[in-house]
Amino acid sequence: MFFGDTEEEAQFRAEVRTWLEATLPTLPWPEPAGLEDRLVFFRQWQSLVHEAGYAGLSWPAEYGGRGASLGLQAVFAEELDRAGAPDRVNGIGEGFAGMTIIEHGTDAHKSRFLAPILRGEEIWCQLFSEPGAGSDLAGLQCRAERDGDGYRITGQKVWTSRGQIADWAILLARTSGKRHDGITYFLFPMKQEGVTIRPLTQITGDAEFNEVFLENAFVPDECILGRVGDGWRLAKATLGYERVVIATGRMNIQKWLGELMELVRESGQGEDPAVRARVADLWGRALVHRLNGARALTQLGTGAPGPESSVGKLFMTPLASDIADFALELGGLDARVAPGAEMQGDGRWQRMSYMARGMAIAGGTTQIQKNIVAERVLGLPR
Amino acid sequence: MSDHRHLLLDTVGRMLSECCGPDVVGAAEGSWPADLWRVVEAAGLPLAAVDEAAGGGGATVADALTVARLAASYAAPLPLGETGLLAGHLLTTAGLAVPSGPLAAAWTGVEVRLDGGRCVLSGRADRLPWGRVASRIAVLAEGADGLHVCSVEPSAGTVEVGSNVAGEPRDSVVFHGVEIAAGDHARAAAEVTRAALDGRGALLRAAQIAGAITAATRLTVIYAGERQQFGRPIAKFQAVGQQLALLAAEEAAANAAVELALAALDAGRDGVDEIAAAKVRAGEAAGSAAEIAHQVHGAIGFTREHRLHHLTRRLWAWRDEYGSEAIWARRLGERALTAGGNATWTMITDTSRSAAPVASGATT
Ligand SMILES: Cc1cc2nc3c(=O)[nH]c(=O)nc-3n(C[C@H](O)[C@H](O)[C@H](O)COP(=O)(O)OP(=O)(O)OC[C@H]3O[C@@H](n4cnc5c(N)ncnc54)[C@H](O)[C@@H]3O)c2cc1C
Repeated sequence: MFFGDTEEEAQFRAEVRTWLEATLPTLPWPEPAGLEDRLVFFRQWQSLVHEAGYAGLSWPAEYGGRGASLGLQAVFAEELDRAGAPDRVNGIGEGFAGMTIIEHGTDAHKSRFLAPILRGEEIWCQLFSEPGAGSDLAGLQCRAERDGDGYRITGQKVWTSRGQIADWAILLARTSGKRHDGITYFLFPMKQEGVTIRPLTQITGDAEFNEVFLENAFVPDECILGRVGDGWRLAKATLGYERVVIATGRMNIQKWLGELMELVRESGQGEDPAVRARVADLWGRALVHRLNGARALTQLGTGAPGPESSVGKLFMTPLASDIADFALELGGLDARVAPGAEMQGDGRWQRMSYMARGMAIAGGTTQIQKNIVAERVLGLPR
Repeated sequence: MSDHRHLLLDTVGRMLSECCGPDVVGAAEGSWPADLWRVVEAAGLPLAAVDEAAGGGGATVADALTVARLAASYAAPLPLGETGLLAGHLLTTAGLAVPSGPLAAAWTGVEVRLDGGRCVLSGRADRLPWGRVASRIAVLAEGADGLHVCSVEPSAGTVEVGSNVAGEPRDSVVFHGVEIAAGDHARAAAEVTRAALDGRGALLRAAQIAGAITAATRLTVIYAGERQQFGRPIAKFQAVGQQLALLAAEEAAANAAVELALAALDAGRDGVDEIAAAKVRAGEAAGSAAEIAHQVHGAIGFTREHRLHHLTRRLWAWRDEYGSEAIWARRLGERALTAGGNATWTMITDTSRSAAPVASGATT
């Protein structure tokens, strides 16, 4: 394996860096803390990304993407991290709903849904989890009942990240009682009567995820993804993409590590052997994480994400929390900021520490990932 | 544990389960729970360890620390330990009056200048627990002729409000040459040193950590027995059961380390080593216990709607307060190295220094 840039990658890196240097300062910084305001900021950013031809870098060119090689995707992500680009508010749209539509959608789905995602016009959320169906997602109870040329959806979803700003959702609902074969995958319009959203305050103090109550909400037949009763297979594909997104560094590990190094220098503790040993350990793990990410992307290059992406998530989660917790330790009393200050300046370590705890749960918990590795990678008996 | 301590804990436990539910704790983030304070003050809890002659309860320091531990298992949003064990201690040992109401204590960052009959206080007292509502701040201040204790109202200085990660007030108060009235200052008693107060503060936080871990363990075990996935309680999955076992181990370790330090105090010693060990071990346990409790709770534990965060955010905050593990481990290490090879073994094993394990008093 060769880890340096190829000539093409080096050229692309330089191009992206120049573009970011010219473009980022034109945004109305600082990035707002509140989700609704951040959405406005994000849309401005996404339209610049789109104009420059960087939106949907990984998507095939025929769907408005750039069909970029895996190497170029990694370069782009790294440069965004390095420059401190804005939050990707529509990560679910681009990272998993879009990818699942590309893989399993009809031509009509693709032409209707993909372009607005790339332009940042339509935000997506994920209506999978329910109060009684977390790790046991196939135990979901939300009902889809036949009504004319579509379905009426009734039930409760929960932990829906960014549901309050979403235009569309990927939704799993029951079209029959059969545990796996009774689940159907819908592309569901959020802005309608029968959808009630209640934001839930997270431990961070933000209300990013929500309870979503569905009561006779309508979804037409043309919004079924795949076949009726084939939702579980498609859901697994989506969850695979979700893990790839997590494993390939939604949390900007390289950038965090660089900042941690700065913190060590500033704190004057760089001579302490215990501190040096921990930084070196984290640095080594971050390198492995990067290679894991490259591996997950290589897997994607040959089709849908495999269970290997679980390994990436398992490796990433403790790495993120160890980096954040070490930074908090170095920073001492100043680093653990008051509630509400997590979005600003040094509060970011506190925020990252919280997010790492969430990461160990979202997208399939650590224990569930281990089960997947045991069963599907190692082939151990279920 | 003495009968007296049992009785005290019993009373406190009953009182707090009635008056200090999750709704009260939640509402106290950003406002002072005056009603709750009135209840505990009427019961004499804040000043339990203060001399009876000075208006306190005459209980031992170890008694008061076990009360603080129990209160922490309810995440009681009050400066219980700070009022009696820190401020009350400073005031009574200096022969100053102990007022009612919450009190704060400061022992670094402030100096006193005595000229003629005047006593003038200057400097910055950082991160005082509930400094904004304290009826008095007891300040241990350096003067030309040694340490003095001053009793001062927060409003005499400039209060900069702040809070720790759990939302508990941690306010800084800046004194710009504040003149202290004659009856409100005195020379500090010989046994009152900054190091001794560091130790008291550290043991207070270690005890609170042990109490909060005990409560978090209880919540987590109950939740794992009730939460069903794949048609059975999640506690039935060995992966979950093993995490719970580790959590119980952290609870036991934190409580044992605190008990050892309490026993040293009960035996009339300063317990310097035991206190350092307690803060280090409880701090470590705080991190692991919070992690496990959150993992087992899944997404519900990641919300403010569930009460787990009342405990875990306090664990994260208290871990760093009055000296992190790194700080106390360094002190303990230095002491062990200075004592030398032979002494280390005695330091760990001498039975007159250690105590038989005592059942944890902190339960909800
Ligand atoms: C920050 C955040 C954002 C989220 N965003 C979304 C979203 O946008 N859309 C959405 O649909 N969902 C979302 N989720 C929900 C997430 O997918 C679920 O939280 C997750 O699947 C776990 O479910 P649960 O929380 O009900 O925990 P539970 O399934 O109740 O698990 C509790 C504990 O039991 C363990 N456990 C359960 N089963 C087993 C087993 N078989 N073996 C061993 N251990 C087991 C778990 O590992 C965990 O430790 C989000 C969650 C978080 C924390």
